[in-house]
Order: sequence, then C-alpha cells, then structure tokens
Amino acid sequence: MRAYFAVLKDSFREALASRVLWILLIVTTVVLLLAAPMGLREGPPPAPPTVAQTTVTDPQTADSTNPDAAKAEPKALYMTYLGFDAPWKPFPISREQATPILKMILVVIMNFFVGTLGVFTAILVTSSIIPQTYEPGAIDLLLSKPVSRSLLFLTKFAGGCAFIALIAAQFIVGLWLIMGLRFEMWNGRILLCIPIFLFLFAIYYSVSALAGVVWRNAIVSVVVSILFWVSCFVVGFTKGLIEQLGINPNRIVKIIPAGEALLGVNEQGLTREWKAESTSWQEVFSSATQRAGPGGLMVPQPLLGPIYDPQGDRLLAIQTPPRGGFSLFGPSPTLHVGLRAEGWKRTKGPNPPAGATGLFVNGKGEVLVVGASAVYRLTVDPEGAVDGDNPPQKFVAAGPEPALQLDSSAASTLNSASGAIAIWDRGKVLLLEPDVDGKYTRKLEKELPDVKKATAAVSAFGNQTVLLALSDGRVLILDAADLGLRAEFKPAGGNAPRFAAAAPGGRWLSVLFHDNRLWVYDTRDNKPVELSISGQRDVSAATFDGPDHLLVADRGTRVTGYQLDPFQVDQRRAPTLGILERVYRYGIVPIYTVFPKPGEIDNVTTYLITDQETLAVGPNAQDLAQTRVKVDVWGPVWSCLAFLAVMLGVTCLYVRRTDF
Amino acid sequence: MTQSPAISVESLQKTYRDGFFRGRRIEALKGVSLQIERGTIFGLLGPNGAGKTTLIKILLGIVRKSGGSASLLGRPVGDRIGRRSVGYLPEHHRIPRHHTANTALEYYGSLSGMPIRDIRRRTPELLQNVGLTGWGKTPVKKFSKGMQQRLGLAQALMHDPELLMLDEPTDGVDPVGRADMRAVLQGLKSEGKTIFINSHLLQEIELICDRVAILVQGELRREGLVKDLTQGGRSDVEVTLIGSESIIRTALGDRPIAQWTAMEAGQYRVALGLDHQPQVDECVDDLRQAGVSIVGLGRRRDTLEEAFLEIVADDPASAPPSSSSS
Repeated sequence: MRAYFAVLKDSFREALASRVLWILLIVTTVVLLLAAPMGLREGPPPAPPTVAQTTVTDPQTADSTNPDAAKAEPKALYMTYLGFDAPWKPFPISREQATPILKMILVVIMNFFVGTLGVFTAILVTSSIIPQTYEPGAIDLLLSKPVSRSLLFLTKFAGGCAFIALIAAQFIVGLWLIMGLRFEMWNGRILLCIPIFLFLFAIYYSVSALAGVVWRNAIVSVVVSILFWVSCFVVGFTKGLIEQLGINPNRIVKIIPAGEALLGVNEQGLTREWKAESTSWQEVFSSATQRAGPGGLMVPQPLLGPIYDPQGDRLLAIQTPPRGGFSLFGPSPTLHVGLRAEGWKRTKGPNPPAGATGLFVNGKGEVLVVGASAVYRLTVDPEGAVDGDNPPQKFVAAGPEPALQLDSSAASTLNSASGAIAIWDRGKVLLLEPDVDGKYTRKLEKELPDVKKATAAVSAFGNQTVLLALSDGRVLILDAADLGLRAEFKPAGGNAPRFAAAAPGGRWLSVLFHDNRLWVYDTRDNKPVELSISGQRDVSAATFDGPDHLLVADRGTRVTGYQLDPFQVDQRRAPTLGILERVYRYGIVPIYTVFPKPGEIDNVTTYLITDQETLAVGPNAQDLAQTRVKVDVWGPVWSCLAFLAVMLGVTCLYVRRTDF
Repeated sequence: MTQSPAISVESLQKTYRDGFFRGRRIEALKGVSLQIERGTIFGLLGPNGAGKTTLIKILLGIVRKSGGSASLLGRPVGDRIGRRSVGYLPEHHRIPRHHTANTALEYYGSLSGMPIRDIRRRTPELLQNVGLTGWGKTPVKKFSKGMQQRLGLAQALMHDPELLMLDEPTDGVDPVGRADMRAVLQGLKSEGKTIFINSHLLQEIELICDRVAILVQGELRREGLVKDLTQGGRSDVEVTLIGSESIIRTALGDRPIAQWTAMEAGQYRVALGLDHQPQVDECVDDLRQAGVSIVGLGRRRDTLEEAFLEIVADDPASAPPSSSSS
C-alpha cells in the first residue's frame, strides 16, 4: 500500500505545484467573499403600499389558502448587502415563502456553476495528469517498480479526483455556510453535493483517462471528453424533445370505462376512445380550443372528469378556469356533456356550482358535484328549457347544513356503494352521509395530526376505508367509522400522489404517484399488495372497471387489464405505433438506456436540495392532478455508476495488456 | 546450493503488431538466449532497432514476451517481487517536473516499497555518489540532461537493488560525470551487485564490462568476455619489420599473411596467421636469419568498436528490423 499511497500523495504534490489549482482556489474564494455579505431582512413593507402587496393581501386569494392571512401583518423581504438594504424594492413575500425560491437559485448555482462550468474546467485542468503519467520515459520508470498496473492507474485516477474534490469542497462548504449564516437556511444536504459533483467529474474524467492512456496526449483527452459530453447531451436532448413534443402529450392520464367502450384522457386533456378494429385511440369529446396548441407546448385547462354516467350513457366533465388567471371560458365553470349516441360530441350542460372539487356518479346513477359550499345533485329542472330529446337539468344543493367552506385544494371522494362522501380540506377530514332523502349531513369531522405540511391530497373511499394520499407522499388509511388512523405508508418516498381510485366493490384502493408508480391497497386484508404490474415507474393512469378488475395505462398509450384475485393479465390494448413512437421506443430509448447520463446527475442535486423527485410547474402547480416534471434521481446515478465501472475496467484491462 | 543467475533468457521472442488493423508484424527478438551471472557487469550492444530496449523491458515486465522464457533473479519476468530487487534507469526517462531531487527520490523510493525514514536517511548519500550534492531542493525542471541522468541513476540505486539495469546511462553525461558513474558502478560490482548496461558508447562498455553480448536484428550474434570479443577468436600475430620486401617475403615462406601494410620506407607491418607459440618462435628465427629487423611483435587485438563493426558488418545492421505483413 505504501507505493499507492505515494502515488496519491504525488497527485496532491502535483496539484499543489499547479498554478491552476491556486488560481481556481483564489477565484472561488473571491466569489464566496463577494457573496458572503448578502442577506435577507424581513420587515414591514414601505409605505405607501405597492400593487404587489395589494395582490398578496387580496382577500379572495388569501381566503382560498388561509383564512387568517388577511388578518396577518403584511411582511416584505429586504435584500441586504453589508448590512445595508439593497436600493431596489423589497420582495412582497415572507422568509418562509422565499425559502423555495432560494432553493431553486441554489439549484441553479450548483448545477450550472459547479456541475457544468466547474466540471468542464476540472476536465481541462486534470487532462494532462494521466497522459503525462503514461508518456514514454515516465511510465516505464513507474512500471519497473513493484506495483500493479491497474492499481497504479486507479490511484492516479483517484489522485485527479482528489484534486477536484479540494476545489469543489471549498466552494460548496462556502456556499453552505453563506446559506446558513446569511439566509438562515441550514441544509446539510447541500454538502452531499460535494460527492455528487465529484462523481459527475469522475465520469467525464474516466473518459479523459482512457483517452489519455491510449493516446497519451492531453489535447486528445480533452477533445474526447468533449465529444463524449456532446454525445450524451444529444442523446438526452433528442429523447427529451421527442417525449415533450410527440410522446408525453399523448400519454393517457385518465382511463374511463364506459360500458363496452373504453375512453382515455391524455396529458393535453383530449379524450380518446379505443377502437379495437383499428387498434388506435380516436379523439372524441374534445373542443377546438383544446387542439389549438402545438403538442406539449399547450397548457391544458383544469378539467374535473370526464366521468361516465351510465344512466344517461354520456360523459360529463367540468372545466374550471385557472385561479386568478385569464380564461377563454370565462370566470365560471362549465359542464361539458357528451352522449354516446352522438359520438360523445361535446355540448354544454347546465352550469355547475363554483369551486367544484369532485364530480361523481353514485350507485343510484345520480350525478353529484362537491362544490365549495355544498354537495350538488344533478336533477331534472321542470322550469328549464327542453334541449332536443333531453329533459332540462340543473344542479341542486343537497346539503350539508351549515354550508361547507372548502378550499380549492380540497379533495373529495365518493363511496359508490353507500353514497357517503369523504372530504379532505386543509388538514381536516369530513365525512358526509346522505339521509333517506338524499340530503347530505355531517357525520364525522376530524382534524388529523401532523398533516399541515401537506398542501393537497387525493383520496379514495371503499368499504369502511378512506384513503388519503397527501402531497408530502404519505398515504393515510382511515377507518370510516370514526376517521381514526388505521395505518400510514410512504410507498413512493416524498413523491406526491397524482390520482387515487377505489374499486366498485370497495375492496381495492389505488394511488398513482407522480413518479409513475402505482400502489394498491386491499381493504379486505387491510394491507398493501405487491402486484406484478408491468411498466411500474411508467404508469400514467389506473382505474377500476369492476370489483376485482384494474385497468392500467403505461408506455404512454397502452392499457392493460388485470384480474386482481387471482392476479392475472386478461386484456391488453396497445395501439399500433407510429413512426415517431417506433423510433422513440426501438431507437432512442435503448440508446438512452445504455448511454450514461452524466447530464442528468444534476437531478440528484435538485433532489437533495428540494427533496422532490417531481417538480410542479405552471399556473396549476398546487393541483396534484396536473403534469409534473419528473426528475429521475437515481436512474442516472446507477447508469453513470455502471458506465464509470466499465470505463475504469476497460482502462485497467488496456493498461494491463499494453506494451509500454 | 547454487545461486540462480541474475538473468536467464531462453529462446526469447517478441513480435510487435503494428498498423491500423495490427496486421504488420515486427519481430523485435528472434529467440534470444542469454545467461548473466550474479556479481558481473554485463554490456548489451547492438545497432539501433536491434531489440536491446525490448529485451530490458521484457525482463522488467514492461513489455510482454511473445515466446520463450526468461527469469530475473530466479523469478519469472514480470513478477512483482522480483522487481523489488531491481533498479532501472530507462533511456530518455522523464521524472515529473513538479518534483525536486529530494521529492523525486522519495517518490520512487516509496514506489519501491521503502519507508520514508529510510529514504530520507539514504538521500544525501546517494546525491553525493551521483554528484548532485546541494541540488536536493532544486526542482527537476531546472536540471540539465546530465543532471537528470544522475538523478535517474540515484533513483535506481535508492532501494539498494541486487540488479541494476541501465539503458544508455551515460547519455548526455559529461566526461567527468561518466568517470563518476564508472566509479559508482565499479563500487557496486565490488559489493556483489549485478549490472546490466545497454549502451551505444562502446568505449564505456569496454572500460567497465566483464562480459558483453551483441544483438543484431533481434538475434544474439556474439556473447562472451570483452577480451574474447576484441580478439575476435583469431590468433593473428602482428610484426613490424625493417628490411626489403622481397627478403621479408622469402623469409616468411608460405606462412599465411593476413595483412601486409607498408609503412615508412623499408618498414612493414605484417599480420600472420600463427596459432601456436613454437610457430611464432620459428618465424622469428627465420626472419632474423634473413637479416630482417623486428621492430615490434605482438598478438593482434581489435578495439571493441572494431569488433562490433566487424560483427554487425556481416548484416545490414543499420537497416530496420525485419518485418512482414500478415
């Protein structure tokens, strides 16, 4: 070991003798010293009040998130430097509200300045270490010593990494101290970015090292490393682009069994019906405005439903305009109706109540809407105008008394067998039950402990079990009899749930998380079940179309039917792939899978800093049902680890077998 | 128990493959056999491209052999334990420029498995031996070629190896340095060390080596004691005579004349093929009886350079090694 320790020590000696190291250390120190006096100060906003403050204290907005917000003292955040306030206006947010923004800024700094510029500089700086070691005259001197060729190479490689670790550690520890001391954001996970970036550097360096051993030329090493970076970028970018424009917009996010027919809603909000004869999905129940946007660039309007109403043999959906934004549909929600007899053609139905959070069809075939203040039932309107053959209908409040005051983030779910409705609203669970007249009354109301952190939830209700999947990734199993907590799970880590569903008989409950994993709970045995569902981590929708039958969408547009007890696959609907999908599935995906993904290692830093594997973007970020940017955290790590092992292995083999 | 030879080589072969598809074969060594006893200074000679460095690199495990067998201090070549007892000074060696003489010796000593304490104790003595006293803290990048060569020798000696392999050790070294180096090598020989030298400087080899071998185009052409090579196996006697040419030729009779050189007026140098001393005595008697004056007489002896040139002259020595495409 003495010999290898000497090689390692020599690497440090070489580093310390390098002017580049000192220049980098000085530059990073100067940057940190310049950033160190920055800080934030919370204080009252300056008078007179600005437009921005008015927006924040808007009672409508404040009410919708926190009823006490209007009464709270308005606060503003001042940027300071050397103790003095910055000359620009303060930010009309609190320190707590600033924390996620600061985290995102930190992510950008880490990923761009350290992960891109830093790593590229490191490659340039270290590119000569290996070629110089293997130059004629130097390598034969080393190989004449009683050392192993492979270990000599690996130690030299480790020495190069240690060189970079010094600089990365200095910068990241400095950032961590500034964030903690100046911004009161002590996040120890920032320090984990040091090994992460070292790992990222090691991947590029392994390529540089192999080139250095083979060609023994620093310039060739740098060129090969850059070519490798470009190749990785091109593969990743091509995959991302095809997904964004051609694959993801068509991904089924909602499956609607409609009698003999099967419909699906894709990420764009377009509804499609499965046509077995042509093995394809064909668009139905869509409006022209939905197709206006080019592919994935269109932001879909929030849509409640569609659901299938078997009595009317029709689809129903409520379109709600985005909160606080301009809507083409006007400020009030719209009920869309599509009759099978008319080819599911979309027509406008009666006006639904405002603030709808749930749209259901109960066991009796009645259409129910959970609004902000009450449960509404769609009934025949004797005074309304007759529309063709259809009787006029309207939504009529069906309790409870006193009225509800639900937040827009509330999640409601119907037990189709009993007609009971469970509602999660800002940490409270409310159970409503219909009386003999169908009027809903409050049966139970319970504040759940330790759920305040969750800003939203999805829910399902089957048998005597209420399932609540919270935005922080927890799944709570509650007993409907007393709303007592029966069990708690965190099957997808911190990933937020997207949809929850209950089987018609109530035995099975499912939660689909934003990381595309499907989790199924058996209420009969009161435990989660491990099912061999194909395409886990690629599941985009799931629903039950029978007491023991599950439909799962994966691979974008494929829907597979599973018999749950006993478990077996019993049907599969997979459309014929188009050219783009074929290129993607049989060309891009295999290449991407085997290719290393060093460019995606920054996902890990994003995850470490934000603790999220998915990122909510867009105006409906709080809506769990909306698409989120999926951050593949560990996939790139494993891929890069395998690549690193292969590269080091190949280089060791080359070194062992080469005549120097 | 007899000690194994320092170096033993049997039918050693090395074929390099070159070209884009590695289709061109270059035979660098064609079945070389050699044995070097411990405690000797051995010189390996040969024109450029003869395969000398390849032979050394195979012995050190830097290059893999294609055939045959070889051992170093009784261990198969390439064996790591065997290399612990070997010091090597490569031709055109390159010590990393960030080192000083002291740190370079510390580095290479550590690579040989020496504790730092021993290295630091031995460094001043070694620097003195190779003529680098006072240069320990000087960066290597400021060293001249000769100084780097001296430092290279010092690193090879650092771990007190049993066998020293020097590839062109006096390359770039001034005459004083060469003399110093010769003294160091003679001192090592007296300590029982084995020294293997590969050099173009035949005079150096002649001065310090006990045995030499001549390698030409990957084949060993001659191997033996230096004096055997310089005599070339011949038994010529060279006489310098004064007299008339006809009288001299008559006196010599039918004795084989290898060389006849006319010098000053009436003075000739004649090389005669006389194997045994009685033949020499009889020839001297005949010359004297004929009235020929004998100015000088002695066995004829080539310099090593002459012997080398004569051996390699049989072959297109300066031509590159044989190659063939497959």
